[in-house]
Amino acid sequence: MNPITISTGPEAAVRARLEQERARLEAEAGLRPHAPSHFRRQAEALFTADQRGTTTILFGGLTWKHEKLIHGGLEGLGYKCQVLPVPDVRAFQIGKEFGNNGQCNPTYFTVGNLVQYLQGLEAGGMSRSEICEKYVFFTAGACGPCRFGMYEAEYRLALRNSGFEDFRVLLFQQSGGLSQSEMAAGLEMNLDFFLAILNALTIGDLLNEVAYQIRPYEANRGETDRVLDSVMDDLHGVMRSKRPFRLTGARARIARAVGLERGLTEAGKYIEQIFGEELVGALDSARRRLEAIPVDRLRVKPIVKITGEFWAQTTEGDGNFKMFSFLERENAQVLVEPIGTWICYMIHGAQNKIRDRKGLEERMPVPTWGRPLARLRAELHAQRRIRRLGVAMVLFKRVYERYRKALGGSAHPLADQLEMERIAHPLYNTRAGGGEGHLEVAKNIYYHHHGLAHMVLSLKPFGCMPSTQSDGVQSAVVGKFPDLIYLPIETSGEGEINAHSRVQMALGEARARARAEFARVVEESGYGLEQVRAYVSEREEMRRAGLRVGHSPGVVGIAANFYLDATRRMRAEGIAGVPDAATANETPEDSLAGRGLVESPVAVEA
Amino acid sequence: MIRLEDSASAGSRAEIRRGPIIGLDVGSTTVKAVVVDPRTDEILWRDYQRHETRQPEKVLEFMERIESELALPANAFRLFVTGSGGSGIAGRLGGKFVQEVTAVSLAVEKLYPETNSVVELGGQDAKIIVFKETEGSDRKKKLPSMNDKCAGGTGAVIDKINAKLRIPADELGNLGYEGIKLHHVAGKCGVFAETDINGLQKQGVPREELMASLFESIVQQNLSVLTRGHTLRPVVLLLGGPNTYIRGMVEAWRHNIPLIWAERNVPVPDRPMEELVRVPENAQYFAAIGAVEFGRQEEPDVGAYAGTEALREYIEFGRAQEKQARGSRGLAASRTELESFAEKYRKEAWEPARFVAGSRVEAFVGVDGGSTSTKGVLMDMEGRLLAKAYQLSKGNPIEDTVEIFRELRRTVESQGALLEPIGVGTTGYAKDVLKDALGADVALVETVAHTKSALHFYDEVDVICDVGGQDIKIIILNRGQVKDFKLNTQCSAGNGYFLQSTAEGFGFPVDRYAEIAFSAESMPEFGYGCAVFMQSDIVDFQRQGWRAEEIMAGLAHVLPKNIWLYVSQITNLPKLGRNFVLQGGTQHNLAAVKSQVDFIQERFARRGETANIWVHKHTGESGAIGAALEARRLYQETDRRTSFIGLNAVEAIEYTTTRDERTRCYFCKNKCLRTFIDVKTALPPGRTDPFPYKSGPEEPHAARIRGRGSDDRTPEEAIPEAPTAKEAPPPLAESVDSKSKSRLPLAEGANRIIIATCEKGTVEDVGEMREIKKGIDAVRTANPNLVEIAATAAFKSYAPPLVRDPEPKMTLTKAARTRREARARRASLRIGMPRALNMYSLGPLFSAYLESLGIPASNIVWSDFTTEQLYREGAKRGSVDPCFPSKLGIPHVHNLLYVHHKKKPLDCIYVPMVDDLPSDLVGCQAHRACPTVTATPDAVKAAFTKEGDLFDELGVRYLDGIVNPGDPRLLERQLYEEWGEILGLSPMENARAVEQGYAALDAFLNKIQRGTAREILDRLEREDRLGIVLLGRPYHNDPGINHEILMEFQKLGYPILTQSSLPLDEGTLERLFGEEVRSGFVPHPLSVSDVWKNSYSENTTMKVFAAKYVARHPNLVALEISNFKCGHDAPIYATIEEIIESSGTPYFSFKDIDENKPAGSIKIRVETIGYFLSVYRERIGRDRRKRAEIEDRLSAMERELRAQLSGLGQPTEVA
Repeated sequence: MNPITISTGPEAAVRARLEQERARLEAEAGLRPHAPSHFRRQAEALFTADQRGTTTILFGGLTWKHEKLIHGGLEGLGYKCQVLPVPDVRAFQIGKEFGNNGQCNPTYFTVGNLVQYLQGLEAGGMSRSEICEKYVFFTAGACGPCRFGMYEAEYRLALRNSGFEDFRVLLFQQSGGLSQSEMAAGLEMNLDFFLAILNALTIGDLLNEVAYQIRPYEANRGETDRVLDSVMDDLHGVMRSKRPFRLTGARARIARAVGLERGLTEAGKYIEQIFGEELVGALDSARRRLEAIPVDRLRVKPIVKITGEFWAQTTEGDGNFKMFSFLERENAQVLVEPIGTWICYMIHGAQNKIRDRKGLEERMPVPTWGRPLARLRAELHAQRRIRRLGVAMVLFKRVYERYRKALGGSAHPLADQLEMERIAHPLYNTRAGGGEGHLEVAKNIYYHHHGLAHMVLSLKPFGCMPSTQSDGVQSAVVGKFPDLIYLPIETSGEGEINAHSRVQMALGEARARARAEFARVVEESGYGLEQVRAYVSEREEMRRAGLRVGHSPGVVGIAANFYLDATRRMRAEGIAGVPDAATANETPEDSLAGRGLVESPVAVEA
Repeated sequence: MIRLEDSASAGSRAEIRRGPIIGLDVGSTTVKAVVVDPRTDEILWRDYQRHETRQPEKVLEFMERIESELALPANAFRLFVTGSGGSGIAGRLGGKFVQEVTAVSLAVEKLYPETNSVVELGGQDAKIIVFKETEGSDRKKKLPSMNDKCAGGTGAVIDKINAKLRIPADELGNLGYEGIKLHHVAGKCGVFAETDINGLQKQGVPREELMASLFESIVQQNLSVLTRGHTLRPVVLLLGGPNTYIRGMVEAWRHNIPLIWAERNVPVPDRPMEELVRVPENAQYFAAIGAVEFGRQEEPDVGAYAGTEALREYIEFGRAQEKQARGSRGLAASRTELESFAEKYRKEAWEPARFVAGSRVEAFVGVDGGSTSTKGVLMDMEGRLLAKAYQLSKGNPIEDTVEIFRELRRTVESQGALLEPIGVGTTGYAKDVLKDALGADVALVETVAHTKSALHFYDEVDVICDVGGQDIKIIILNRGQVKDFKLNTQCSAGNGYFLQSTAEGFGFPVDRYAEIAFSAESMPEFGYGCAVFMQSDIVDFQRQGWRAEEIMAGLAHVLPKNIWLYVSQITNLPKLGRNFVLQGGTQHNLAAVKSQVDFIQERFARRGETANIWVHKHTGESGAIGAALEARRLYQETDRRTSFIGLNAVEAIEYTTTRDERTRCYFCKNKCLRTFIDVKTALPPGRTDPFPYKSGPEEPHAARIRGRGSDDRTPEEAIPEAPTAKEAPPPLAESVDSKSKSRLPLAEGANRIIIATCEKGTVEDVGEMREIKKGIDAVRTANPNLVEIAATAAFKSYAPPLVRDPEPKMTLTKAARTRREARARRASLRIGMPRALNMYSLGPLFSAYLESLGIPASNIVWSDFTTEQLYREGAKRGSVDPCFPSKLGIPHVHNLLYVHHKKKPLDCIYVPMVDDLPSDLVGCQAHRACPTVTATPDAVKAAFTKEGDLFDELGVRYLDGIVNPGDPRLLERQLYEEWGEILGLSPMENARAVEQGYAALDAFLNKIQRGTAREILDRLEREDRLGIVLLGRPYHNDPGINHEILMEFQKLGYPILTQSSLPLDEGTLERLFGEEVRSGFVPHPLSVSDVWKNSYSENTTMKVFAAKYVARHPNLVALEISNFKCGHDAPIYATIEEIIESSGTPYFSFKDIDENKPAGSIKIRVETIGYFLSVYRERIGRDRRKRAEIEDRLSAMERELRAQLSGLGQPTEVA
């Protein structure tokens, strides 16, 4: 037995000796250490304020328009940032390789996209430690109910599996904003940040929609995109150069002196957000350029409203089989879904939660009829909280409207959440969370009922939890509204040809619907097609994107509405209708076809 | 007939284009074309031909023939193209592409306007179009649906099986369905179907029955999935190749569709069935005709046929360019690389051992009865391989094995030596039958056999990847112990059979595969995944002009992706370790080996590391070697002498296999068919030595051998409940031996092996059966199964006290009178609830709530337990494809409506939408329920209300309000809103009833589940045994969802606990988590913040907690069950595994569970897990003994030390 030195008393010496011997004997017997090691999740590295100047924030997951504006906004606030490329199939495969099995594809696409980008940086010569030091990733999170709230863990797992275990992921909680403990001070979760993001999302929504409105009718192929690129560059510049409101000079000194500096600064920021002219002016300038794009609105195209799961309905890449460009190639007009609807949904959901739990606050007695005062107090308390959210909703919508009008007013206003709820609730309980659930049902009925689309296409990832169930309910919706054209597409990352084929299938119906509608309008108008075409060709303002096309009840398509507008004008100008002679013995469809007014889908090249 | 001058002399181009319209349908296997005169509707030309994967060539041929046979110039025609291959070809001919469903719909509307439904089965797709009248429109609305990513239910499945059964085309067309006996065949996927067909074929089921069963499964698949819950109303049109040419397919539709009409009260016109479900003339041309119809509506310039020039150019040049642009380099970057690979992996030459003439060769025999072949080996006492034998399956494993023995014997005896087997081991699919027939010493599960074999030849193996004909097994080891294994439980994509069949399809023998594939300088990139779809990729690549060798190279290249990424889903290979052994028959193919090696090395290279990859030197025989090694171990370690029947007896084996009414088992109500194999060997007749539990080749069978002379009683005597006259077994056949009372007499000298679906069926004698049952019952009693206990207890009555308000003395107001009436109804109100989903955890809450208000317990009617039949009957109404548990919502409500309501009317069906759940966990973000489950009740409601409100029609009120059991006060409000009016509730009695609900829930959870679990744990600790914890959601207690896997483990002697039953008493929590709480790793014993952050989903977080619990409890191991498409399980797969494995605790899983019960795979997994658990049990027992010894030595040492201390007084050193 080896002698040991006693330094801390005999008892400790005995114990130490015994432990030493235990370890020796265990090793000799081939036993594992007595106490097994237990798994712990990795400690999360922070992004701190002092790293701001040397750290680039990576983000993505929306359309390039939204992302470009967020980029401008964040740079304007002094952050270095970089937009990730649109996720492609390769990103999806990387996500599958490094993530858990059985995920929905937004996870695979977005997680893989991040890893792919980092791998690209590494291939470009940066070391992993350098990458982890110089970049952070910023994404949204949630507390359920679907697995979206667990994406964060998936990012971390994939980063770990791909060798970037020290890479930082920052989370923006949908419901509660940024968690400061995670953010440290690297990314400041303040009003300026919020407003910059909100403006970027709103303007991104509007420009996105307007571009999709103009492109199908542009007279010169590619012109919309060219103008949009330039407009976006300008707006990015405006967002980048925009400085948050601040009290300066004497006003700041006085406010500081009376202890109101913070309050007044915040009030100033709100006022500027609601009434400021900087962004509105930039949008007005964008409008002028977009409105000048020459268009031919006599092209008959079905309008396809896009709904579905948040990411699948937003992305413009392989994540939804490049569905929007496919639809446009198939001669449809795409009506995209604004992110603003989601923001309204979140606020409305929070209001409902307060309503449902009125008087049920923890540790408080339930106010019954027998306790009228308590009941009143609970009522007032709840109303106050609901109103506060109501104000947020009003302010958000007001800004949205203001920007919408600045951009010419052709984009659709945000759907009213209360109306969405009323429409969907009998079919899909609106208290069942997940967003995609009842909203999809509501939008399907809403866009059909209001005559805003010929067809509703719901894009959802394979295995999407709420969206799959909403599809189950849609089968009853389709039963109740027999003339509604609805198609759900599960986007799995693979099987693009099949998905496109299914869309073509439904689009065939929608196209027939658009044609029939146009033919009816032509027939009933009393004016011949050639006559209207000639009339339009003589009036430049009718061949520009800036012309607002009215929406006549029961008429969905742009061409049909435009035709009605034109014939109204002609009537007002006293032009007599001359039905085309050639149409006399033909069906309306033949008549349209013969005059090149019905476009056919372009065959997909192999 | 159109006259030439009509078009040729016509003036304007537009007029010319009003000439004939060509409708061309380019499908996956055939090309169809019609040429129609649009003015007369006359079909001028038509043809239908298989294109044999040469789509462009066939189209070119058609177009040239059309031009020449109709003698018209190209510019006379217009062309409209449809079909899955149409879009690429249309552009090259100047034609216009028409989507297939659009085309078919147009044809149907024109030719058969009375049609209300269309079912079209194509080569690789299936379509159903439901036509619905719409108000205010003379056109019917079309509700189309197509198969999406899966080939299930399509002609491809028929093709696949037909190719296997080698039925000539004309004979296939004549195969019927009506009056033919059906067997269970999975129609979901061609691969599954093949597995079932394999099994049935081995049982001797004739191919007419196999195909009829396949037709049935295809019809069922389409009815349950593709109709999306819509009713196929008459007239139904059957289109597409299989429906047109195969009689049985049509009969299967005509049999099944009217059943749905009857169930759904669809008015059926009084016309013959042939007219209601009809195969129209020209059915195969419908899409082409529809394309023509589409063309009529287009302007004359659209679809202007441009002639064949561009297509010809494409075939000659363009295709090659397209191919180059899309492909990648061949399997090797250079010849040098290939040579160095070949040098390294060239198969080592192996020669059988030389024997001295006249010597006696004592050897261990290993036999691997695989799915496609049987292998055998001889090994000596030192574990050296002496001889090998291989036999491609002739259809029966016994016959193949006799051949194997013959060959092994020949190898030895041809050298003048004498072979004397001193131990025999079997493995593979047929291991149990072979063990019985041969009297072998051991039947070893394949996974274990492969592990033993790899470890015998290679040191420090981390991963064994075995790719056989049908199976893929990945075995992950840790210091020589199996840590985990993956099997292709649900899918056989990536297996060797696919490579082989592709090579053979191209006309090459499989042993030339590598040579051919290596000759390709470039190859197409396959997408990995479904094998049936890879088949369609092959077709597509051929269309693009890829040559056979290039396709074979591409297929070899994708093999590792299918193995690692698709089937076993291990994406992070370096995590497993550095040493890989590749084995299984597929490794004979060096192209497959190179792909595997490159794939694995690439994963390591990303980390700057390399892997050691060996191909097993006896790659095809590794299973047989493992079996021989186990026989050797038994011989050496247990001194066991072999029970082998002897070589001569093997030579003389005669056997007959019977599976018919005479073999039916009547020991329980299932009345399963069994397979009797009567084997005549030299084994002494009447030998009754009870072979231990054994099972058959394709199902979790049990098998038992019995000889003549045992106490044979008739099955009738054994039936606990006598069957009805209708069900009674057929009369006994005249027995050869009057003493035998079996309906299938056993011939003199024969022994009978019975393959049955359960242990009880392995005997014919009721006494023996009772003994077996008694044994099983004893094991089950000793090892309680909380899955089963909780599944029953969730739906029992907790007999809560009545808490209803006293009867009011006066009812003056109308409201009071209404309430009184409602109160009076409580005693008779019958409420149906589904035995599904969250009811497995919340059932007592709702039943006790209702019972305490005065609803009699007998009036709370639960739907039946999930069974395959219950699912099948209800699932046809489903329109979406969520996870299996959610899909069960509709069948359970269907069961309530069509079974229980029919028996005795129900007033309400209550399917609450559960939004959150009660929880014991601490510090979580929330306790939400799964959103898929939450919304299921609304999806169920939609299914029964979309074609008219069925609830209304049946007078049943459907209640599906949202509930938050996680928030008792909110729940109270919600239940009051739901039930207040119906039951005439007062707020106070509602509140009291809610309390009763929670009290019942508490009893269910804390008394029944945790109480029982507490007792089990105490006993496990006392007896130092292991228990299995099911890491699964509450609905995994549903026997229909868990496929009774847990019961199999219970029978192996492991008590089963569930995650919600784990005792949470302070003592246990302190013992398991106390130290970690004090060390600050976790703030509370019931918190999971140390391992999982996104903790808002209650059942998910609970699973994480249970994993922590198991990882820290020495007597528990984990078994995770998860469903395909489970959105909340997927994100924690890695976390659960890491939590458990970090602690050294065994972790096993059954993931991707769905409605298909892969019985064969479940059996292998259960056996393998059983084996490794027993090894683990031995190891921990050994470790504990060692630890006890160490403790003894330490105590002695301590005494000695203290004695020294007391002797020294104030020491400075101790010795």
